[in-house]
Amino acid sequence: MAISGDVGGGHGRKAINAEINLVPFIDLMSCLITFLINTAVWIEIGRIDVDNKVGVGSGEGEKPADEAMLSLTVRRDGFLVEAKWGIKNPDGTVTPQLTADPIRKTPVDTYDWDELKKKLKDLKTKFRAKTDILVKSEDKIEYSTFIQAMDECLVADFPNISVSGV
Amino acid sequence: MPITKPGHTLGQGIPLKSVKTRGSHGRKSPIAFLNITPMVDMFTVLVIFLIQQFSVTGELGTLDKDVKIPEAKKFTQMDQMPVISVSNQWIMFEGRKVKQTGSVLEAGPGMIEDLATELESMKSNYKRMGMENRLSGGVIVQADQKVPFSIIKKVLLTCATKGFTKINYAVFEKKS
Repeated sequence: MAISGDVGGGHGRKAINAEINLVPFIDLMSCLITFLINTAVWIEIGRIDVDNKVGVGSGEGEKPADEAMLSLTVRRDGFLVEAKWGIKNPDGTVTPQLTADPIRKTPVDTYDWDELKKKLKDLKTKFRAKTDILVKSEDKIEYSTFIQAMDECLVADFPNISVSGV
Repeated sequence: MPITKPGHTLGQGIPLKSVKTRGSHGRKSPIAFLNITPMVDMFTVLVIFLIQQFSVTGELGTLDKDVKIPEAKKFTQMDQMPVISVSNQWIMFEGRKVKQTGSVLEAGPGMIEDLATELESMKSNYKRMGMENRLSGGVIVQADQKVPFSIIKKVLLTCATKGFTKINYAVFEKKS
């Protein structure tokens, strides 16, 4: 098993034959293929890691009154994107502020993911420094919808997700 | 064009060793030569494909056949942790059936006692072996796409009660 080539030749000159021995190459290939097939990962599973806050409330009491609290609620009729924050007055008191944007389902009874993306993007623009968001879900919501909602939060650059029931 | 029997395409004049060894004077040499070029080509393609597939971390979890996990665009790499699998039929812990999903759904609010027992026994086993530091307080939740959130909520509550507060939701990469 070799590849041979004849270079030159004739007229009294010695032919320069080059032969590459392919046997070690094939041996190496065989070993490499066996190793790679054995160690191959056919199903690559990833993970979304979150803080588990189910049943212990939303942690509102632990934060200063003027700090923003962002939340996304997954409901059967759509989403609710909420933001709570406070404006500090000169006398030291805090005036609470609240925005709540409901996102209704589309006429074909599917969640409006594009609108959610837009709302989360707006939220990120408004609260640039915020990285945490609370994702709440109703009991009847399918797990895939809940995961997709969390995924949208991650895409919108809210990596610190907490989960809570409604 | 009619199909004809192929004749010799390489002759004596061609200075390839493999051709030269063939018998002359019209007789065919009994030595058969194997053309290994396609095999080497195939090996090369296979090696390149497998190297692309190669994962340094290896396979860090198996999936239950009844569980179809959701897809996500943004996720991190899987880590070695205890796995809680939730299918439409069973809630399983590390591959062992713990409780039927239907009965959990029918039961009132609160944690899943059988799962809590499993988590507790795993913790005590690690403690007995002096490997508490191997428990990071995290679990992987592998749940089917169609499972209602109420089941997940109960699983999370059970985990939180037993000190497992880092929940990792197993997902596939979303191909967009």
